[in-house]
Amino acid sequence: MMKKNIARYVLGALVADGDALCLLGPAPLTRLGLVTRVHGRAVELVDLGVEADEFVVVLSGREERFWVDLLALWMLGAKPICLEPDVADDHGDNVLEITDVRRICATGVEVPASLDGLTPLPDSSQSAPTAASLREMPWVSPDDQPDIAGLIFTSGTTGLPKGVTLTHEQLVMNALATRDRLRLRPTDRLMIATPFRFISSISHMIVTLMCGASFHGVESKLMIKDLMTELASQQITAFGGSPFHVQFVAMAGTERLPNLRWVMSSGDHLPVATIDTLQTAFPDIELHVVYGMAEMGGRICSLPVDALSRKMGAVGLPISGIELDIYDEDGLISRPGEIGEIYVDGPYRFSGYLARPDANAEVLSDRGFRTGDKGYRDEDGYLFLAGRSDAVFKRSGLKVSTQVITDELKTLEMISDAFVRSAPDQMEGHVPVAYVVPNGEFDRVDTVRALRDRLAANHIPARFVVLPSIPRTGSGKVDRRALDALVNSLENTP
Amino acid sequence: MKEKIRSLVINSLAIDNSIADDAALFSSGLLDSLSAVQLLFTLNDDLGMSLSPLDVALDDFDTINSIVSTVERFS
Repeated sequence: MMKKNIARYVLGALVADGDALCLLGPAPLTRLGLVTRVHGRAVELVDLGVEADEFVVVLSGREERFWVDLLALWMLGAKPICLEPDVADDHGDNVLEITDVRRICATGVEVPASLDGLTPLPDSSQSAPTAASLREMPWVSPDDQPDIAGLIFTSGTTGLPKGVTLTHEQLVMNALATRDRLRLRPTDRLMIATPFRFISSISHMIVTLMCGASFHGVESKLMIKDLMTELASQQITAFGGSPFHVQFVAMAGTERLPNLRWVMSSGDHLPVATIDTLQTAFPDIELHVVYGMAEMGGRICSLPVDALSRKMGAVGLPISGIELDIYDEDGLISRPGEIGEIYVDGPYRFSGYLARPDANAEVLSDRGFRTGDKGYRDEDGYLFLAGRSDAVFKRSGLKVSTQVITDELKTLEMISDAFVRSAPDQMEGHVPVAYVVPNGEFDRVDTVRALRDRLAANHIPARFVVLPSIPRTGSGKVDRRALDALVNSLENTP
Repeated sequence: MKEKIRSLVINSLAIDNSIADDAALFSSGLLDSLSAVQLLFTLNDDLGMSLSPLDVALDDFDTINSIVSTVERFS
């Protein structure tokens, strides 16, 4: 049986109606334009010596060049490693350590220091001289095509990002199952505002093009107004973003976004208030709530549009091919309504993080993949998320580790003791709140400045609560009830 | 007014006191869109403004100078 190749599925969907746009942005490409660019790039990469089963770093931040490189490398059976141009030194060093990568696609951006020993694969952005058929392109033979399609890294909340080894089969099958749920039309223009190197962007590029629709990926950090301007100027009909973005789309309304008919919310719980605002502002909007992870090749669940009103707050039902179970503390599958840990399995499940046996042992078992998320299923099988199993939560769709923040606070000379936990926030979903015992007078500005040197922006505490001490049990763990009582007593003290 | 706004920006975002008035705050990657929204709400609260994130583009908010101009324009 022919091995699945992602590039075949994507390019195969572009063979008809060659003048139709498929990639939007500063350098838009028609279907024919993308096919010939990918063909030309693949020929160029062959001339540069790229071989099947070879890892190649592909840097994002390069607009359409990233997608052209990805598809061309897949065509050749090479394995793209998707990284950001400002990759941290230790992450870059780790990539070199765990793979035998020798080359890099980086035309258009500066190569980070840790990767400057890799040989560049310059991109002349030439299309193929003729509009060749798909059969004439330098496809990897089935015998030479590796199972692994490349490496996509997790966000790396604690420690180094982990390399998720995805297969062509996994990405294609997840995309097909997701396509069936999302109901995109060939006339749609989908915009995703997340870095290209993440599974969210990659899988939705695949799904969008397989639907015959146009994809607009935006990586630059946009102010909200600029995001709305981009949505309007590109006549976007379908937008996918975090609940943080969706709330502002809802505020913008049909006057600013007359073409918008479809919104997808992912990455975190979508507040009911935001859903109400969105449906009021866009009476005919098609709202999709989705839940997914790179380790499962993209999406895990989606909420059918017609179930939105009766399953408010749910992230939906597993997509075709996903097996999902909830386990309680005793290891038994929880009954409907009971909160437990979410495990997923099925043919899309990754085989493990590259060179991370310790991490794999923690998350892979005969139960499947341990997502680290908590949730419950109702009687109809709809999944509702209920936070994280560990001290990690989502802030505007991005993971935050309370332990990482706590550890950094404790390294500061100005802090004697610290404890961090999440608190609900109307705008961001949840935010980190730091309870601190300062050495001397507490200075919020100095503390935040010190943390900013060490932590990602989303790990900076939204609030600080100054305490005389942090109540702990005999074993040293924070006594949360005593903490709450202490905080309450201080708030009520005149 | 400028000094007050400068002080609000520096304290709210906890950036260095010595930052230049024309230094890029967001396009440089120093801060993200979420920080921008939070700063906007702080300015609204402290200055009695009603700025909406939908009304403020990058050019309006990327430097202390541009923030001052924007506040004065919307006042």
